[in-house]
Amino acid sequence: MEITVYGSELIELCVSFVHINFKKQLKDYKNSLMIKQRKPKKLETFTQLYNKNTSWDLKTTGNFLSEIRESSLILLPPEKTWKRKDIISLSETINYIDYDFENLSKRLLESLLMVKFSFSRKRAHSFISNKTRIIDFLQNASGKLSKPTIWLLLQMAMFPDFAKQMLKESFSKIYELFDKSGMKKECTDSLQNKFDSLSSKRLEEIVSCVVDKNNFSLDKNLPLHMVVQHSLPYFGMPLLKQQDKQIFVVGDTFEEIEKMLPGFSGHIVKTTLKILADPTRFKLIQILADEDHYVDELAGMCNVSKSTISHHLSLLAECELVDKIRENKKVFYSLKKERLERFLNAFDKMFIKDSDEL
Amino acid sequence: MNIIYGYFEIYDLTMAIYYVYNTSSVEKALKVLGVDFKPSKELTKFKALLNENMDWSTRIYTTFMNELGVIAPILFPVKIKMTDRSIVTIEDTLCPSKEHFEKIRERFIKVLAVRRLNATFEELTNLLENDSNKVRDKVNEISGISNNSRWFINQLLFFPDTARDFLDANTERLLKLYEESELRNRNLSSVKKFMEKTTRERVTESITNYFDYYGLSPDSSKPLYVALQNSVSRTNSGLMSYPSFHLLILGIEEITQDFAKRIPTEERMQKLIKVIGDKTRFEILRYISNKPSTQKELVKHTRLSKSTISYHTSLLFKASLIDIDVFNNVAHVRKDTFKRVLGDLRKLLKLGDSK
Repeated sequence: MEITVYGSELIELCVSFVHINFKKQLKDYKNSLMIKQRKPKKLETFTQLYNKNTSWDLKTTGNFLSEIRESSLILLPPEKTWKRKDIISLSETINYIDYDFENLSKRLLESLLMVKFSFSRKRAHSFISNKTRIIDFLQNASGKLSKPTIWLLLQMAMFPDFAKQMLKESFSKIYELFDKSGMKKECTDSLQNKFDSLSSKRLEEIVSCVVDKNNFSLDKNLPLHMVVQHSLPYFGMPLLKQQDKQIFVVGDTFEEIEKMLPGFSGHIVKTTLKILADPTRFKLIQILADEDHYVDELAGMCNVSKSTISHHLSLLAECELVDKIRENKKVFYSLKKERLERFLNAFDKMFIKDSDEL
Repeated sequence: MNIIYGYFEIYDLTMAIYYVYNTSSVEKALKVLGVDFKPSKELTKFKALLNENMDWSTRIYTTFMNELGVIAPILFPVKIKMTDRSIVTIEDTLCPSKEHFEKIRERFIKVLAVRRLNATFEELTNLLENDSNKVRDKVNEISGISNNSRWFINQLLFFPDTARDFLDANTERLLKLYEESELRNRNLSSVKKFMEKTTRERVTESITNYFDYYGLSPDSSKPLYVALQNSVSRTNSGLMSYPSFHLLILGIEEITQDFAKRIPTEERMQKLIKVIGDKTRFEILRYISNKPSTQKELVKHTRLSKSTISYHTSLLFKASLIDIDVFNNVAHVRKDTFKRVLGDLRKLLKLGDSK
């Protein structure tokens, strides 16, 4: 799968506004992770500047960004306008929004319908082609999005030109504050630094860590984009599938990701190798590769006691290589083939495939 | 492939010296690879005798043989070319004539120039004549060898007569210890018995199984010299490839037992993944797979002792997971072996090819 990694100032802003508007929730989230969150140095400066200079339009825009979260990825310009490992500047993003506003508004709405209101892709798609239906829906939508955000979405549906002007202007003003506070520079420097030391092998490992931890169901046929952000180190956004790509956001704490997430990091590959190196366990996996079996059957087939088999099976389950399934009072085991497949691919990537630097 | 197998006693002695210097890592490595090895009482005696009689010159000689183990053997078999099923004693490999020694020295300089000093043979001979200080500096910069070995290289280059005396005198001294320990007798009689009883077909088949086990497919246009050894009879040097031939120092019992049958895929694969799955080795492999490295770099990266790294790399080499350039000590990952492990796993676990 083709993986592209980059940063985006729009996403930095979006995440900064999550910090500003969802302080309490973030604190709870942070506590649940049991980690001390390192904050970017200039984030408070930016927060203060913003709070001091804010007007209703800046407030609406900031609030909007912090609420739509991953749907804001729709607004990023396509790949041909920037290079890999670049940081997409906000001015580039504004130009793109300016150029294709009506279409982007529609797609943004479509995405929000799916993400916030659990619409199916098909239903969301047919919904957005009917203006009156959208307006009706938004006017009655409540709870999931705040009133100012609903208002802005209604403006986008009803008066696109007006909405465009407002968004463009307030983005530019916010961008000035972002620059003035030093956040722009801090983000750029930090990300550039991270990207410089990121080999493609390591990138692939980080990606599989995040994908695995979050149970993202990837589409094999779509290119995968990873947007890295600096503003909130431990904050990520779920996978957003678009027509031409799938994309997710992750904090720039690569070392922590590698440590914390039990994905197919070197650690998992190593452990899985150890698991497979035992003849009994290997035989178990071979048997389960054919079909699922009850514990008693497996003990008989491997010619060892039931307690020995249970021990090995629990090790395999710990390593997520098998599923334990209860059926009435009996328990049977099933091989997680896709997990095994991913282990083999990680092994392949680690030692066999030539990977060039991105 | 043209296989010539025979016995150069000096290699057996080299193997015994290697064992003395690396006892624990040899034994540990064999254990991980599932080989049940116990040193013979003669080998144990040889080790004790050598340790008792270690004076400065023996120390230098044995260190040199140990550290430049792969280059060192080419110092000897110059008078006699290995012919099939021949047994060449240590006495036959000593070089009484100046002429023979000159040949040995020339061969050594060739290898040293290209592989350790990044120079051509002509450049080095030129330097030797015109700027010997520079050569000394360069020898001092060779990494991964001790000062003892440096000293001896200097002797070989600048004081050939001393080097020759030194080499012969110490080989003779070691020969005495070798005899006294009865290891010589034991090895010679095992080899004679081997030559009588083991057929050529058996040898060829075992070597085929050896290649199959390690997934090796060496260039078959070059001849393969197989030097038998019995000191550590269930281990081998790993295949060493030179410009015009391959050399493999192979334990007798590897031919008669370990590789007598084709090793089942499952068994081979399981040993390999056990070797890869170890914490330290995994780290080493990942480091090397990104960047081929010397042991010195690995010591720096892992912050482990030199002897620990040496144990792990020799085990990885034995398991054919890495190749070590025999002359400059740079280790790199043997992708073929990994591909094979992956292929075997897919086949055994009934998973289709990826993509």
